[in-house]
Amino acid sequence: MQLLQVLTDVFQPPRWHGLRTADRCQPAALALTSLSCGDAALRTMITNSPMSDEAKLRALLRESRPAPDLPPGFQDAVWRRIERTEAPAGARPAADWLDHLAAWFLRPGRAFATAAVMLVLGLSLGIAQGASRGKDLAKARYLNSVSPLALRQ
Amino acid sequence: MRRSLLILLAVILAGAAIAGISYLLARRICVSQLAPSGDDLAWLRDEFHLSDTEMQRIRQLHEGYLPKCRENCARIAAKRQELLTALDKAQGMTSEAQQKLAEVAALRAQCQANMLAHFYEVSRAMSAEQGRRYLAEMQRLTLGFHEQIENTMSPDAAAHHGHH
Repeated sequence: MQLLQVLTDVFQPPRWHGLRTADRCQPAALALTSLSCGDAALRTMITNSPMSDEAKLRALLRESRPAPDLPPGFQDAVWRRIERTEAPAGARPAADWLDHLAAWFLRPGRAFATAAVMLVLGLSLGIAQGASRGKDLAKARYLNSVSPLALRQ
Repeated sequence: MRRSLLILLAVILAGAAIAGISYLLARRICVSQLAPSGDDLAWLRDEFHLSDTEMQRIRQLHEGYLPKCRENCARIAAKRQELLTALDKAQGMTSEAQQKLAEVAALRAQCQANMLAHFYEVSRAMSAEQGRRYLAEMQRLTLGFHEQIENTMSPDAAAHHGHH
């Protein structure tokens, strides 16, 4: 694994910028040696090279290939996957169902659609009930005006 | 799973809040628009689809009827007071109390007769179909309550009551 990592690092062109000639030669030599001789030879070469140079090289290599930012909620997703793997088989479908439902509502379009449906539902019920109540009040007003209260008690 | 539950709970609460607030607002607006704003006859116009001419005629009848109605109410109230005084004084059923009771009943019957006469007049000011509907509705609303009481006291109802 270490060998592969070094080889990959070596053959990436951008990482050479800003290196001194001596620094640039070292990894190439390492790579060639490792190709022909294997891990033991590579370990020897690395051990022989000055520590400060190696550290510098590694720092430069790390800088030259910055790690991309993780997407939002990456850690949560990882933990969810771990939990799902560890959860008992019976509990999984319910959890999956809830996750899917929650994910469905989290989409902005669907959230707005749900809010709109609730708004229309509330307005419709309110209009229907308000119309009925208003009509009842108007009817009661007419009846009170024409029929004495004593007769309806 | 816990996060999903929280999301769903938030969705349910938000949905209920949106629906509840919109329901209350719509209801209040509708009631304020449809409820009577000062016109006793607003319900008649809407319910029986009256034209302006019909409304004008019915308004005249209504305004002519109201003083009679108030007068009847005042007479009934005064007679009821007399009846209560007679009952208090005698501490039981006397011939005077019985007479007052009969007078109250007669005044009520007179009031009902006047009211029914007014309903007939109003119904004639409408189209035949709406007039029939109006008359049936008014009879049901103004006389229905007494019918209900009488039905519960009829021999059939009493026999049924005895079986319990």
